[in-house]
Amino acid sequence: MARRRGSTLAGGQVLVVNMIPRSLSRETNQDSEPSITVNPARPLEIVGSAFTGDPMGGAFAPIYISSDGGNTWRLNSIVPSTAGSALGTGDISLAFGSTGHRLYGGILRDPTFNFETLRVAAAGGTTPMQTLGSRPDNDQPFTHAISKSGRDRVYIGNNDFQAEPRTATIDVSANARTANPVFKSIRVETRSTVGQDGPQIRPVAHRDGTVYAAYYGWRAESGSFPGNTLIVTTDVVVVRDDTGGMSGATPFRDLVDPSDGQPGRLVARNIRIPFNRNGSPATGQQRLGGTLSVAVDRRANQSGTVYLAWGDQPPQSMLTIHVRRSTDKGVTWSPSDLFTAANATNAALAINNAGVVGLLYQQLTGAGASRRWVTHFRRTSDGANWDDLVLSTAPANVPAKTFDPYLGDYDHLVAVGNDFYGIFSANNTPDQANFPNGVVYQRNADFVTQRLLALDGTTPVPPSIDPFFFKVKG
Amino acid sequence: MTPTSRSAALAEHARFVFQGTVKNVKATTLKSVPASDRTIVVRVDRVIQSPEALSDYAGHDVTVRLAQGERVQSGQALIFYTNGWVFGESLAVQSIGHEQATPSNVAAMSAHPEDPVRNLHAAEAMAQASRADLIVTGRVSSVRIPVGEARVRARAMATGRTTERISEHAPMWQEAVIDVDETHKGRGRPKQVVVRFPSSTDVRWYQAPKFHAGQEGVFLLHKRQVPAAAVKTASLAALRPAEYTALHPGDFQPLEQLPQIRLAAASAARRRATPGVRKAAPRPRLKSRRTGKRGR
Repeated sequence: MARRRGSTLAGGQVLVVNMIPRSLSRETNQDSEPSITVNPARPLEIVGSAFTGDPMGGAFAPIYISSDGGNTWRLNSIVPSTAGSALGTGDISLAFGSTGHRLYGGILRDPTFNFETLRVAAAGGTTPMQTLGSRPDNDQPFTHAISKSGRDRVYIGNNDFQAEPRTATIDVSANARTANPVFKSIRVETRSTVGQDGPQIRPVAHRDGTVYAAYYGWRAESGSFPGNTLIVTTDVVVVRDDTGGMSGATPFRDLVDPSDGQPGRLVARNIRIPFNRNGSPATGQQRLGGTLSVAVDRRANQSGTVYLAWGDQPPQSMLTIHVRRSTDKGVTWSPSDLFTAANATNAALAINNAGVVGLLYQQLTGAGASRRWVTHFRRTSDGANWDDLVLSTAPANVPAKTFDPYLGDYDHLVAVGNDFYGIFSANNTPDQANFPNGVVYQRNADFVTQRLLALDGTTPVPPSIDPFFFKVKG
Repeated sequence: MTPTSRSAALAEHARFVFQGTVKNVKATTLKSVPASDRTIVVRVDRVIQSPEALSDYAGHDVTVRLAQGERVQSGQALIFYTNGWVFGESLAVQSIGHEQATPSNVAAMSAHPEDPVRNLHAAEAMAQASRADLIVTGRVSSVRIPVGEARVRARAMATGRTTERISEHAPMWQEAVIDVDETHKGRGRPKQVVVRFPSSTDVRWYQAPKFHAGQEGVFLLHKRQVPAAAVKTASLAALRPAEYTALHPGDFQPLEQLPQIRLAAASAARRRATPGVRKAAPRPRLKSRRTGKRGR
């Protein structure tokens, strides 16, 4: 019968939980591309998302919700979708305001794939999320929210093809709590592009009103996307706004690059990234298209400290993650990497209330049939010394992908208080060796025979990609 | 409405249909679902129609949230027509109605008595058939890249720069040419039909049928299946409204499904041909009727 194993949270230990509930023990969906948010006003309430359809194909896609700090999870179908949808939703990213308990989100809604901005007052209730706005021609909405003086400031990075050729965009609402909040679409790219920017536009805000965003400014391309050989030459750009993203008609222009006097600091220039149509065995079935994350030190008077992680493709690496830091609000950056990881993707940064930096990423190791996806969580308090927790290590060829992306075009990490909360997608084979720091399964699993089991506790269920929650005490 | 048509109307709107015995009223099987006047615990005796992930619930207790005004009593054996509600340590479903679990009612609901997943797929195929603009049986003679898209790709390869947007959600349209044996729905009797389908394996498109030469079966084809507003986003070469697509997983069926698909198509045609009848017919009543003492 199912054996479950987990570590406690004492002394900075990690809790890792497979988020699929017991009632769905038979499921074999590829639950990739996860995101997470913790209600800062009620940290036991945590919400996750992934490419998970309503198990019954209902008209709303589910969120994963925990009311006990991540120990147990259930699905609550409140995300607008369409009846009969097996997909549930396209890209999805959710964020709680820091007070007031409201949950915000950006999705590509099935079946139109329109970019929709969402809000709900109670994530655990039966009321569906309300659509606040909808428009076509968009990609990869990425949501961040922060509350101040009873207002929820919501920032949703998105790649808006309606703004071609400068597509990097942030939708900003100064107060998304109001009945009919206005979201203003701010175009943050000012330079020439190859016709568009990359899909990753990542905003992050500090309580003092400083807001950063990072994006890939696409400058040139070669090869073929249909042929799966596209290489993009790109800059890594950081923009900043010092008044909450609301600086008159042209926000996010408070950080200028000295080389051309244009808004947006060019932290890395003319790097190359692959932009895959499909994952392949050589990439561990994961399609690659860059990776980008930015985090600000949330402590008072520390908004000038910002960490940035990006991916590029140097020789001998499918994608390499670089982490650098600025301590002067993005004006200058560490001249070399504070941390580098080859053959890695899905970088996610967060900084806790003690100024400790957390970095989540997924690294492909080995070769041929021995390739493994290894999910790391590292911490540093000085940028130089990084500890390392391996959360998951599993064969990269099991299960076979059912769609792209295999693990997701992103994973996610947040910090509340001194604690880090993260989510990643991985092979769900119940093998203790795959989870060196322990794991708790809700779905039926036998760790002795290393088999997933159906609801009856005996019928084997094939492995699939599941979302995993983790928490690391600060 | 006859019992059979009522069952069909309920089944059309329910994803999870099962025969069960009411164990407790005002009860629940989940910590996150408080017991109320409308929550009951039901032992699932037999799953009749279900998605794969929930097909093994026979013998397990589930929480049923009754529809407004729906009443049941402990010990009753009923067919519940439900949709999902909460998936946690146990399952909670939302009832849209129930009926007595008589042998005839159970039999009427079970085209494939031992396979609830097949029953659901059959129901989905029927729904797709009623929505389709053209239904043909035939064989894929060839698969090709649409002319417009081929031109775009050639230009991109030649210049090293595409003028079209790059998105991981691009459909990568292809065209399948179908040699038609027989037309079962739609105007004319075409000898060949061209259908566009996305070759992309992206999350947006992977469930759409991927056609290959030699593939034989029933093709359920649609116009304007991609919402107009989404066409530009979705396309490297724009999709024209008159072009047929097959995007739903149920839009290609094996030949053995043909008799049921024909029935669904004929039924849809009758509804279109006799609008007066449709107007006169009562709307399916999705709230449950009370079983009252008759159910005891």
